[in-house]
Amino acid sequence: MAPTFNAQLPIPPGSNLFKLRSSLSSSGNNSKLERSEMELEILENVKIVKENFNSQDKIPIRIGFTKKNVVENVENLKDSVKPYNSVKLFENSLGYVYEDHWNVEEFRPLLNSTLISPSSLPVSASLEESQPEAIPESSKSETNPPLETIPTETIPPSEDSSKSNSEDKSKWRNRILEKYPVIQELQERIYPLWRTISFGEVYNAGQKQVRENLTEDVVLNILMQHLRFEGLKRTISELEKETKRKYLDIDVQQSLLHGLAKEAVKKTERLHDLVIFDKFQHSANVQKNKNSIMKALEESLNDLGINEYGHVTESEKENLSKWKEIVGGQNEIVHVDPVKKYEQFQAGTLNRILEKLTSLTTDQQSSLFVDVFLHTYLSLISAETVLNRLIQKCKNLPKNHSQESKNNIQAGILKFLHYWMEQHSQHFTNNMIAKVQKLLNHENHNNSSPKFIKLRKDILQHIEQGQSTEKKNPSSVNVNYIEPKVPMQKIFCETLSLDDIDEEEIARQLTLYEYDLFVAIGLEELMSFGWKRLKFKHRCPNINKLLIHFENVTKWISFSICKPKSKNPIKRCISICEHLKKLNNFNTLKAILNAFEYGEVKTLKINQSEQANKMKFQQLMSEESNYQEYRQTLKESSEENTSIIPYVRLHLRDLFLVEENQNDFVIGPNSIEFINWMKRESMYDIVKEIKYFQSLPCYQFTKVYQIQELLRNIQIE
Amino acid sequence: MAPKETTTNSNSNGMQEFKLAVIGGGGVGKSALTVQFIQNIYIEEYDPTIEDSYRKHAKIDDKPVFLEILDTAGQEEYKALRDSYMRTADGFLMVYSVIDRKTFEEVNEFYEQILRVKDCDKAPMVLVGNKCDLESERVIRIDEAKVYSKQLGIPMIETSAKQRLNVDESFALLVREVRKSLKSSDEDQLTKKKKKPCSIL
Repeated sequence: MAPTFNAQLPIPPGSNLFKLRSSLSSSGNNSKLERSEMELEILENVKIVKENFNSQDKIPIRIGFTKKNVVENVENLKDSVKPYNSVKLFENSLGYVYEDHWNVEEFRPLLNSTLISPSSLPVSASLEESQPEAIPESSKSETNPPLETIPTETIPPSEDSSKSNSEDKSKWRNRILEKYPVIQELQERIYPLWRTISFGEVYNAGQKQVRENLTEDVVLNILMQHLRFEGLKRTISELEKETKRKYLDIDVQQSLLHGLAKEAVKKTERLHDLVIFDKFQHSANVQKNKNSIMKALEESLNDLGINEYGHVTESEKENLSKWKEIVGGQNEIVHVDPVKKYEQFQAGTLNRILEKLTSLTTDQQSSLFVDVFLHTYLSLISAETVLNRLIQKCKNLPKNHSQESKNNIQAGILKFLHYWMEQHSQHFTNNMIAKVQKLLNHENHNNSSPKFIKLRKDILQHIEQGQSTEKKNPSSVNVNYIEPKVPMQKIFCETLSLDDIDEEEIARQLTLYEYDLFVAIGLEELMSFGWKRLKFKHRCPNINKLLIHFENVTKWISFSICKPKSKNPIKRCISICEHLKKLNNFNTLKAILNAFEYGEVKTLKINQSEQANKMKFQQLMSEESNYQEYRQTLKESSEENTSIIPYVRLHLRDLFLVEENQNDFVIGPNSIEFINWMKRESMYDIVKEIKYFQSLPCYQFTKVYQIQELLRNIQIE
Repeated sequence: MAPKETTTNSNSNGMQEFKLAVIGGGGVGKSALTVQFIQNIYIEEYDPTIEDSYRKHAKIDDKPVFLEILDTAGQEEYKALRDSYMRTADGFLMVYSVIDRKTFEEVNEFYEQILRVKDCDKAPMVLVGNKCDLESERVIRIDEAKVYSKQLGIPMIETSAKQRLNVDESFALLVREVRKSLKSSDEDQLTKKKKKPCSIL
């Protein structure tokens, strides 16, 4: 009986399973085996998942078997053949029961069946009777094991076996598997799919509804659709025969299994996080190759068709259709203040906003409008989408307009483009610049207004300049640099530590170090919200560095205060605080003050004058009344036009709260979604402030390499 | 310690003033809950930079109270800050999301940290299960949370910031807890004072 089963379910000759089988030659008969790519294909698909998640210790993902570990498993088997029922079931956070594959594989009799020839097994009569019903049931249960516990009840009790039913029931699965190796082989094939399912469970991907709908029928159907897509008709018919389920045609042009695996990768928040481990933050190798790693990842994601920019836009096509306008319908909400004659634009469709952006009016209000858009659009749509829209608009001018108004529209678009490129050149990729160039060359022929020609020239000039001098270094060489206070005897010594350095100099060097990071924070970093959304963590490297540095400073200070040998550490810290305050470095100031709040530090005795000084700073940075005092001080010092490092975390929090608590869209009349402009404006207010602090003149100190290195690698013993 | 308490807990008008901290894992809806409580209507514009965006006069059990709410949203990943705000706050709203077990499990971490920072075995806290409108995605059953809150010895409530369900109640519950703890600490001091002369005599 066994050989016929073998013929029905061919094993791919290339697979490890096959190699192992022939090497062990326990079943012997493999002449009838046919080539089937099925297993390999499935493996390929799930490999994506595996590659990205295999480093996560919690997730039991290992797909396919190497020869080595199969042999190991087999060797383990010789010592003790454990029954299948001993497989441990775990409950995940959703209350679903699943097999933990890491644990399972240790003792699981993987190739039990291939080792033990069915004919040599003593088979009880009762089992033989119940076998016809049992096979489909058991194979069915293999497709979907994580969703159920082992379905002992699903076996239909046959009349003959009813006597021994009570004891047989628990081991039916084991016996069936022993008797019919083919089932086990089928199981091996479905194994990757099984993995995918449990992966999904662990990661809580998808809604409960989906989970409920994902029955074994559906899973099987998806599997068969994949086979069909790959053109493996025979395997499908075999599978249909085995499972007694008909393949229901799914009319999709691509493999659904492939698509789902892609979706799973896309949905997970941790993808990027895993690539840029925090724990490797200091590893030089990772740091050096980070850019290429990120690039490779983005590229491979692009290959998969997973390219998200901005969290709202999942696919651009979808959104473009979502923002389709109703011609002649209302496309904006404007609040008009009748007393002040002031119009407040509240919300509008993307087209309406672009229209406003590209209008030629040059009053203060419209330039503010452009600024608000350019500073905040990245959280909503990608730069490319905006550009595409503009190009579309430029090419498809309304036919019923006069030539002059057409020219005006085009000139308006160019004016906006010019401003955009000037102010935010970093938003433009090479691809986008090429598009702009193409547009300009195309439009050359039918627009001859002088305004247009001038703007066109300006933009092309700008592009040329941008390409020739990639980076404009505003290195304003200042003669009045202040001489650093360095302990001359020790500065070149290897044992130099931060304790040897003057408080003022520490404050200066800390400030310089953070200032570089702070100034480097770009709009795209702020708009990605990557410090809160793990998915976009890689998009804000500078913010992350700054936040990690913040944490490190706190730890370092609290450690140095508690260090037994140091003399008067608290006085020293307060002195640093004073210098930081003078330098307007609120960020580091807060980091050091936080150190005083640590439990260990709190228990130390502080004398009264120090306590008073400390309280002064703590009051300044206290969260009371929503950081009222800090905000006030910040306002005052920003008027003095000196360098400032604000308490970045607070500003990031404000920005994130706007993002969280206001809707991106409001539903207007005709239930069209309007972009909520009020939100853009409140975001702009915060971003503008950060940008303003960045634009202030930089600190006039000299970096001391040795101290900078010490700060970069603040290590807490 | 005693004189400091009284100054922080009542202002010049003799009105009680409490600092409440809203804590919990990321994405549980802490700020949504806070915004809902502070502003009675859901508004499209929301400006977190305004000074009194987290202050509110409220009347709870017919006694007026001035609340200052510390919304810790946006910084929960950074543990260095936690000690600082935990020390200053009088009461804590520990929020988890009923659709995310991880956030429920994190509550314990917060609980222990609060007790450690406050250096006592009891602090006014309320366990809040947010997002209870998402019934279909729920993974934390209410009885499970109730059992857990009983273990910790703190009250619990389920809320929905989106539908403004039990939002005020959760804060009222916390204010009651804070008042209760003040009362008991006052009594402790009273009994100590009474005892002292006796022991001398």
